[in-house]
Amino acid sequence: MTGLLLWAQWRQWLHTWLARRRVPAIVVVSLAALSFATVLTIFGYAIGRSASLDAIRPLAGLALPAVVILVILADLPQVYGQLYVARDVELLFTLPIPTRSVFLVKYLQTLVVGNLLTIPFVLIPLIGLGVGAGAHPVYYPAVVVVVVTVVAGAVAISYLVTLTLVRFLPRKRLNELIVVFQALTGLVAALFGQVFRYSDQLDRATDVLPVAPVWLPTTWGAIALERLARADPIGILPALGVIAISGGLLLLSMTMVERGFRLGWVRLSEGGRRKRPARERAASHAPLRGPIAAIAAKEITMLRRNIREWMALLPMLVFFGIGLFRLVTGDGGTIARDNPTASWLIAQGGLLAVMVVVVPAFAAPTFARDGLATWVIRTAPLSGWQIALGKFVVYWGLMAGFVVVADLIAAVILGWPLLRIAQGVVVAAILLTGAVALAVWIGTFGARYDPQNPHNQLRTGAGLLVMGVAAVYFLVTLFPALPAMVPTSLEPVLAGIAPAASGWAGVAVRAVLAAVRLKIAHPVLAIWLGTLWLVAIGLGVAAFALWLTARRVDAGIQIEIVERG
Amino acid sequence: MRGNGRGRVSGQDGSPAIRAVGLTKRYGDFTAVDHLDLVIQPGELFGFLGPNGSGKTTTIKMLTGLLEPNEGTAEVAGFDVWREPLAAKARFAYVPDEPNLFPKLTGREFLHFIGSVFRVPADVFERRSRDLLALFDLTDSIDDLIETYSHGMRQKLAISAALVHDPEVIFLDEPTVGLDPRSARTLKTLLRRVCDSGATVFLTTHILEIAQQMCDRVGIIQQGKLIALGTLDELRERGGQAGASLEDIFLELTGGAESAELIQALAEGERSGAR
Repeated sequence: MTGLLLWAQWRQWLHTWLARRRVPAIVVVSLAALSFATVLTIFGYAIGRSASLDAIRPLAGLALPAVVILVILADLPQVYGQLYVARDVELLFTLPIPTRSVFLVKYLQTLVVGNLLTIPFVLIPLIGLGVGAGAHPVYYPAVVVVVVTVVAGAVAISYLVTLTLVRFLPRKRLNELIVVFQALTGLVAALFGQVFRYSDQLDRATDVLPVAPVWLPTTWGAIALERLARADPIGILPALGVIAISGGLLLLSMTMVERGFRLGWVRLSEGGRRKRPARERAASHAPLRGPIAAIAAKEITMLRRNIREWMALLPMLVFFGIGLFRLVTGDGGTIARDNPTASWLIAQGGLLAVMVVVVPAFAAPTFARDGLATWVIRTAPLSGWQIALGKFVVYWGLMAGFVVVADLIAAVILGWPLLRIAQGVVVAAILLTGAVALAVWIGTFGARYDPQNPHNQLRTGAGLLVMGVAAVYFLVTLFPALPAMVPTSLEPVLAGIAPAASGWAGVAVRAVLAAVRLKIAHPVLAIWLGTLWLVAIGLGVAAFALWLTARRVDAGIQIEIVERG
Repeated sequence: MRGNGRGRVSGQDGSPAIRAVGLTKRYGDFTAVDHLDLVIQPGELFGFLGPNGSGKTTTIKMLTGLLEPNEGTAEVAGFDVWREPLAAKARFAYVPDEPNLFPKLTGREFLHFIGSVFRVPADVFERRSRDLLALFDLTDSIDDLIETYSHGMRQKLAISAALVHDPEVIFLDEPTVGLDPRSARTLKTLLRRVCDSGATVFLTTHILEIAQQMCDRVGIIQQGKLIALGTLDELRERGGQAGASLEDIFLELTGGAESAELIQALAEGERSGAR
């Protein structure tokens, strides 16, 4: 029966891929995967070259538990979706198929498809490490077995945790918990990404890395790899231990299948809606709005009630929080408070960088968010302009609001003068008009609605395009406007750093210095020219992008609806 | 079948409520709707029937501007749905077969949204929404999020939203699917009353009894082509089947009669096999 289900699943994937026929997307993904694999291989190889076979145990001893944590966090939302949300479960439960078979197929689906990126993320560097350190050929099959087994164990833990949580938590709490796990996955992945920052210290890797405790099964995997790299047959024993632990975890999760999966699904499907007594809310007496305000109110209400949508803002909060923490603590805080002008400029630059990432991620999926209910908008007597404006106002307002709050917090801590705060807020507000409008416009291409994965609301091409366009827009709008914003008091500081600065930082410093010198030579002209440029480009781009959006809306936007089997 | 109501004049002077001329939709080599010509007068309750995959939903989507036809034109209340979309949309309401609404809004907020979009005066909106909610037994759940509604409740809310702005033309795709018998009866009575007051209803249904009881005229579509159009009496006359039910006529026209014979042969085969 399991084989039959796997065949059905395989046919579904095959038909999905064949039906999509997205050659450009496949090429982009393949190239990205190739680059990713190359970087990882070089990284592992470089460590192996500089640290020999001794590096295998400490590195694998840390890499394997790290991947376990990542897999558990990343797979929990997937597992929840596979077991309790996927549309095929209802049908499968009505067929004479053992629940365990259904469960096993779901498990394999998560292991293979859900970890397409995670497994190579740890496997490739470990292979590179082996090549660099001159490991025995037996090391390579062993590393594949150990990594896949460790990941399989981690997936089993994800299933165990989900099956347990479902027995005790109501659906609403589960949904919230899943969002938290998604956020944590992003943070953990970002932390793991920091490892590449230490690539210049590869030769000291074995000296500085902590040693993982030996009672951890992942450490057994590391010991097995080190032994087998030296062609020591004893290495097979700890490898068998890892396999036994992973198998045990899978068996344990399978014992919970009836109560956790089938009865859990039944309980969640029943829902917990209680009939509430009739009551009139204030909203019922609120005056009816105009069409643009109605669109904006609908948008903001839907955003407010869906915590998942706000996850796009998480990078902004994290980076802002880390940046502020660094500025406030240590010597940096004193320097920043002593030089409010410089700290203001750095903070605005930082905020801008965050905006390049956050605005597209938050505003571009606005049409995708209408999802299955998009017919309501399309059959309503609303012009493209009204819809585009209603949506634009919400995202512009939210983004501008975040900038104001961030600027105010930083201003209080770093002691910026009032004029500087106002200047930062006004510039950001104008800049955001164009950025948000561009994101909304690009969101009309490649909108995708995936109810289970709010981060998957744009097709790959549109997602990349919106980021690139946002970056170019900010550069084009801001750099010619620099003379209007940069304080002249920075001239000596910039003149001091400019000769030593190199690369992109050097170009940026020299550009700012040139702007400051222009402002010193022709203060009124520089301020007027810069301000005019900013306003003209910011508002001009906004108007043009909204016009394009309106046209696209009038022509009818197609949203790809992702259905999970 | 009932006689036409003529309570009010719909849309532009003298123009029909719905007019489709040569409406065609192709997907590659497959023609879903093939040169459909249709005129429906104001106050008419029109039933659009056809087997699964015959092109009913495609037609309704072209008439409501959700699908662009490859050929032909669609007019609602005298306004071309593609050339003057806003004027047309201001005059019709649409209830799809799968009532997907904004899940994170409450029922009341959704009605409010529709009222705002159609610029319904506040007092009129309050009165109509109150009446419709009471009629469809939604008053108790109107402040719950739509995501907690059952299919039937969403269907009733979609119908209430369609009626709250008093449209001239109402398109309903399989409106009785998911409704409990009481709500289905309420809907039938309401639609008849709406038509008697001069509005036009265009509905698709698989339940031929409903079409027979309610509709002034029916159109039968098969493989994208309109194969029959008229009142029940007209269809009977044309087929030479005096006293035939709409089901008989439908099965005769769409080849269902052959299926019935096959089913009978199959049943007989099974019985003889069992012996």
